[in-house]
Amino acid sequence: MNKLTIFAAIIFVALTIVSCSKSENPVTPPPPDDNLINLGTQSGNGMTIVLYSDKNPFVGFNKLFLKVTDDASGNIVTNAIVTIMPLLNTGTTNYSAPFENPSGTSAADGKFSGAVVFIMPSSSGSWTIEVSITNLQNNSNTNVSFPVNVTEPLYPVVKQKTIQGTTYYVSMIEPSLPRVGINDMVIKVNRMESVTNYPNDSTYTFDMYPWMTSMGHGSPNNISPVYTGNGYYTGKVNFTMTGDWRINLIFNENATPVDSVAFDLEF
Amino acid sequence: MNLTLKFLFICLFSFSGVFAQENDSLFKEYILEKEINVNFNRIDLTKEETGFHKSSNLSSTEEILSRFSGVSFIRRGNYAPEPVIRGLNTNQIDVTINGMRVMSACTDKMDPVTSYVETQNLGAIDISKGSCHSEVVSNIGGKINLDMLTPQFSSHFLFNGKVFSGYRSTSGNYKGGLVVALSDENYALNINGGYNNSGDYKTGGGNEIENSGFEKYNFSLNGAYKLDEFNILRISGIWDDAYDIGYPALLMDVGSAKARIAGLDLESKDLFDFFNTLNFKVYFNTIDHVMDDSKRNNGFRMDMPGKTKTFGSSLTAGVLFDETTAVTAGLEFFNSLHSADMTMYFGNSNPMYMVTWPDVRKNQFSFKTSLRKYLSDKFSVEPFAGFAFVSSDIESELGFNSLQIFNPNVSKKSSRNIYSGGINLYYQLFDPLTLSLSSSYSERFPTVSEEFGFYLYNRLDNFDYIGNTAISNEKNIQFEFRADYNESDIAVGTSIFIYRFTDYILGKRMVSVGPMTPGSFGVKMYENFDNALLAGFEANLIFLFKTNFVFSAGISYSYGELANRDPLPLIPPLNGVLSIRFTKPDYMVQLEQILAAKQHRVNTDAGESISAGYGLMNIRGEYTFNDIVKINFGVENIFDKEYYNHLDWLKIPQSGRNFYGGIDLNF
Ligand SMILES: [Cu+2]
Repeated sequence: MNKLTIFAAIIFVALTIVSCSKSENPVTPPPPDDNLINLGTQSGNGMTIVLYSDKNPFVGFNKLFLKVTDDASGNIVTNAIVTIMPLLNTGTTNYSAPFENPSGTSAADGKFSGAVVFIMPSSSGSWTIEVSITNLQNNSNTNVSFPVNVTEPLYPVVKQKTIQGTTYYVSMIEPSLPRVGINDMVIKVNRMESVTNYPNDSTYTFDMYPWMTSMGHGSPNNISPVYTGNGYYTGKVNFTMTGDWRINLIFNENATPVDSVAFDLEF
Repeated sequence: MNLTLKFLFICLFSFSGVFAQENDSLFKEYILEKEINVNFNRIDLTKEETGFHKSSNLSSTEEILSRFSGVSFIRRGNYAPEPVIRGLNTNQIDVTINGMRVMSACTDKMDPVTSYVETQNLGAIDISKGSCHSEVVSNIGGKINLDMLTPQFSSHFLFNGKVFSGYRSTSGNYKGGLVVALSDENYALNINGGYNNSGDYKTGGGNEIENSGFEKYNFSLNGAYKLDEFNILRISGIWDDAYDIGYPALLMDVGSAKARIAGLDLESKDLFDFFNTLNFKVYFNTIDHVMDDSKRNNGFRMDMPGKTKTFGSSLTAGVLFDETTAVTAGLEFFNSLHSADMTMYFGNSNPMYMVTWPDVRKNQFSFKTSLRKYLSDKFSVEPFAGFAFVSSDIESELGFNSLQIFNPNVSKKSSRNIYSGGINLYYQLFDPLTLSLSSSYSERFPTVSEEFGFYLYNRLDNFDYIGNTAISNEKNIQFEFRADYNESDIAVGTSIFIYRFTDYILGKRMVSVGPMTPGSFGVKMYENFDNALLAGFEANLIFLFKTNFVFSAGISYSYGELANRDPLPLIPPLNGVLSIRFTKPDYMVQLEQILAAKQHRVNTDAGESISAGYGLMNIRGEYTFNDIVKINFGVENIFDKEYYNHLDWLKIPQSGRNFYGGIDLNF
């Protein structure tokens, strides 16, 4: 029966080894980045242009992508000057909106990327994206127009604020998929000079206070967004639990609070 | 002396039953066991003739433990108080069942492991105070091991058992059950089941404490099978379900608390004619704790379930080299998973979910060894050393992301080591008087809450607590002096101890962080504090006179302070028990006086305030009608005093005058 004891000892050692050498969790592969939504195709002057976005167009900051194909060669155009311009026709007025042109003249991954902050839904008028392309290979040029349908998200992610007679648009770009833990906080601020001109703005500094309204508490160790150029402010926002959160942003001028906006979200 | 050594040896390994000496008088054995090691007490409840620890069938495991001097309890209600040894709580002491690791599943400490063993399946209790013992390898404050009943073999087939039942008046507490034992030459089996139901209790003066009742079912099984002359296989299991447990000192109650515990042991002796004893153990257990506030008016609803799963194994061996030298060694491994979360509901808003224990999986491995050597007839030394390693994996992604908010450098995998060691010196000054001097160094791992907890609310100081993944192990140097005087009719034991902590773990307010739990003051994070001190003494006297009387007295005191001279929190006040028992073959009467002094050394940062002292008187009796019928009865808190102990959270008074009675029917 002594064998039994030895057997027991072997089991003990085996158990220890099995438990200590537990295999690592498999690393999940990153999702393919081509989950883009096709918003339409237009052609002109021997070029075919496809407009994509990463989400269905909504009131707020939208990333846009343009794929340009040379009809003659069938090649994707990667060297071009591409500009965009959003237009909203309400029947009485033509508005534009804050936007970003593709930076540079070369297309990363075959697409030129820009962005638009839709400031109203399509129920207020008809939105189009006016695109101008100059193919630097052959200097051919075209202008096309894409109609887009813009819907209102459940929780607004762009806020209009008029301070001392000037109207500002504050877009919350991140967190776009809020989660418990530390989230990137990215906002973009534009000033309305006229109904068609919305330059980037860095007039104000921001203090940020996330707040769980239903329970009446905040979260610790947040980093208020600071200006990083081109109208962008970046920081970190922390959510300690799921539920409904409000991100309060205080506009400071020379360290004095002058106004505030709040973004609500829920996850 | 050889006998003493052997005895020590047996007790070191907690081998009660088969290998134990049976010719000693039981009382002498009780004394002897107290003598054999400075800080080691083993009380075999089935043999204890004085009956001092087990006052009646109605006693809970905790009530039995509270009669050991130096042991006290932190109470959050009338159920499952948290054991404390010399002022050190379950963060600093280990509690095991039959040597098995069982992990509490409540983030609010509602379920110390002691709550899963009922007295009808409790066979013996081992208590090691402090770390001056080879038994304790991974903690600094000591260890409580609850040994379940050891079924005994018999020369021929035996079937017996008992039905018991009892009632306590202030809480309408009914407890009843059945114990059945079967045995033969090669096997023995003990099965028991009990039901325990209590309503809200009344304090002295008759105030009813709301949310203080509970209901509990407990079944346990212990079996032994003799493989051959040298090897015994044992199985043990506990199935414990408790429902609707009220915790008046907390914001939450418990809907259900379920424990499933199973173990298998192989005991060998004289293996290879070398290992005098060898014990191999495998075990598995799960604890499922469902905590909520559905019976409260908190203005919101919270569900806070917690779960643990543990499996483990250990191997211990003892070798008696010659008549003066014994060596013991043990290897232990266990794997435990600790999960807890919280969902809050406020009005119509979306449920709010947070992970409070982020599915922490621990793999702990430890080794310990000790040597006992008699250098002369009167002088012996016992050096010991231990090592433990733990790896912790955070398996909840959400929990990991949450922890990052406070612990930016947290990683999903981490590991820690601890070392311990020391020496005991025993010197027999003259025959009945033994002096001993002990010194040890020990460390402990931070608890899951201290390292990985997330917004765990503490009602005592009204703060939420956050774990600190960068916290250091708590370290401790101990010195202890003990004198034991043992004669057949008198035993006196005294000990004086001093513990010096470095990296003492305590919550520290994060001034910049606002509160989360509605109404709380803010948030604390666990931090290391340098140079905390704990010192104190215990003294015990047992005196047998006129053959029928046993007088016993015990007193204990602890003094704790932090480096800034603030007192350590939750240190029991000076306290003692006096009792006198008169015994005749068919009846027994015992009068007890329980005393606690005022505690004015309080830590206000930890939410403490000064507590008054109190004195209580109890009377107990037992009458045996015949072989079948035995009754027990008594009155606790005879003068219906309204009192609370310093360790009772929120100073909620304990039970008022309690009449109790019970009956045992043996078959
Ligand atoms: Cu609980």
